[in-house]
Amino acid sequence: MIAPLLHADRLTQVYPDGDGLRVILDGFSLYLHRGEMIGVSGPSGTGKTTLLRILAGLSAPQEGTLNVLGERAHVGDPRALARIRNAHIGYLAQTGDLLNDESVGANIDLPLRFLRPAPSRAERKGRTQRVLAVVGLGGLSPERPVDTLSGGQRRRVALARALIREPDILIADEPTASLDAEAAAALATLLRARADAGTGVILASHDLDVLDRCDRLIRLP
Amino acid sequence: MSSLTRLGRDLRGATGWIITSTVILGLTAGLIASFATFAFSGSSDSVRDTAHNLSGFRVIDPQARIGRDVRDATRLPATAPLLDALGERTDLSLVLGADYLTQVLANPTLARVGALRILISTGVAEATDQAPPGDTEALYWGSPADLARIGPTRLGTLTLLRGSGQAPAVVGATAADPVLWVSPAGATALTLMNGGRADELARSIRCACSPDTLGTLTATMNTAEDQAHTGRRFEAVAATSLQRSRSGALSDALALGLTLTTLIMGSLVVVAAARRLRERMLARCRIEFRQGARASALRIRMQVTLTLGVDLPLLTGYTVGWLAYLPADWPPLLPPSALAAPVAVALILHLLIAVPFSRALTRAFQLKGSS
Repeated sequence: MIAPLLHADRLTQVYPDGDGLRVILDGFSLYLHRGEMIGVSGPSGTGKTTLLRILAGLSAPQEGTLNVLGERAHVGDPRALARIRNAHIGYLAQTGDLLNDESVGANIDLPLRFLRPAPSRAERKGRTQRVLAVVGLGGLSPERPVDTLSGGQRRRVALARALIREPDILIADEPTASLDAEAAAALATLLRARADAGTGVILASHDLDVLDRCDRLIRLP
Repeated sequence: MSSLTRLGRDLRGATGWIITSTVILGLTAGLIASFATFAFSGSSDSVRDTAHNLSGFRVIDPQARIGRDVRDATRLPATAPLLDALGERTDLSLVLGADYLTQVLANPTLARVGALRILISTGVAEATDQAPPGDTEALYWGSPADLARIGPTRLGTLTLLRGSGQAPAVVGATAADPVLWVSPAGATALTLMNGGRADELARSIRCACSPDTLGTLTATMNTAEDQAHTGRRFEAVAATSLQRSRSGALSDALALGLTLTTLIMGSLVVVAAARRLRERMLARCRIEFRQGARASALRIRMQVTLTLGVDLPLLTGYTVGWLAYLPADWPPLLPPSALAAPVAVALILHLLIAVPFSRALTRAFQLKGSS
């Protein structure tokens, strides 16, 4: 049996809601294997982002465990969680989370700057160029300011940043939100290609075209 | 990209932060000026009535080293000829502030001097050497009819007497800020005081003469300074001119208004700028944390940014203010015991900004989910 890239086991997350409690996740479990692309759908406010953040090691569930490549991501140890996250997981946030006063290159190679030992400038530049080509922005100058890009280009830059460490797992929150149909389709194709190349992909989306390309779908109530 | 580069970007990236720092620096210097003006404006009123034929010394110290030399009279070479002149010339007097009384009383060597003549305040026009009945060991300077004892009356062989007349305008005394008159012989004894301020000595000399009459003495003092290569100079000037330069031309009300306005505006600018910087840095820190930056490194960077952006301009402004006014014979803006105040203010300001900032960072780094 092939070990899963990611195993979430009985995740539970509950928020206070007025006088009562609102259950976001109730014993949620999930396996993600290499080359697999899983889509998460559901109405707004059902906890898609919460689930993705937990799977990405950015949030801690109240109950349950998370295993990444066989290593338990203990929520009580933020440092270990950060190490696992940085080593294995690329996260594409819903908002893109780009540094608007920086260039394309500075945004994309941001994760590399925190590696120890840090890659050389030349290596960072080379990897940036390569990942820009992967996301279909090979002609874009890394020196170009991010705030001059279109919405589609910004999403691709954010995706390039999520991919620059060549993560085993890519988690994308609404990757095609606010994109036109053509740009959304191109981005969905990119994600599928990453999965086909061996990366485990989990994405949340309302876009049926994107969800159609997934191997499995999870619908949150 | 190095940490230093990122730090520089944090400072540069916040819109107007450099301008804000400059404003802080300027406001701090202005605040010092207004404080100094306010502190000494009280003496300006008495100056207007100053006798015309009264002189003093202006100290010009390009390197502003007097403040560092105060505890060692030997590092103020002009002290020796000045004290010699005090012992020889009857027109020279030493005028000291009331805070000197504490130092005088605290000095055990004075118990052995015994001949120190001190008179607090008074209406004294001429010196006499008459001892009051029963106090043969005490000497004073002034009219016995105007004197009253203050307690404790004895400290070894020393007796202190207070005059009941009006304070002479020439020394700028007020009811709240009396002065001590010390005779020429007593001035020599003052050099025995541990911790006495040597720079105050020159500033506290008054001569019942015109500035021209002090020309020879000034030349001797400057020669002594030249030989010691201090770069320090003394000028004989009319007392009115000297005291006006100390007090400035602002009235009390204006000085107080300027001080309060500076404080309020400075606080508003700092708070607004800190809020803006916090918003920008928080967004950046959140993104960098998600991309692998260590929380501890981000916290340290925040502290360093605040230190360079707030503390440094504040303290630089204070230092600039200090250096700008000290050589111009402005009096020390704060007593030595209060020199830690600017540092304390900077620290408090730093904490006021850093604590909420740090809490916001903690919230940003917390592993809590959001729906």
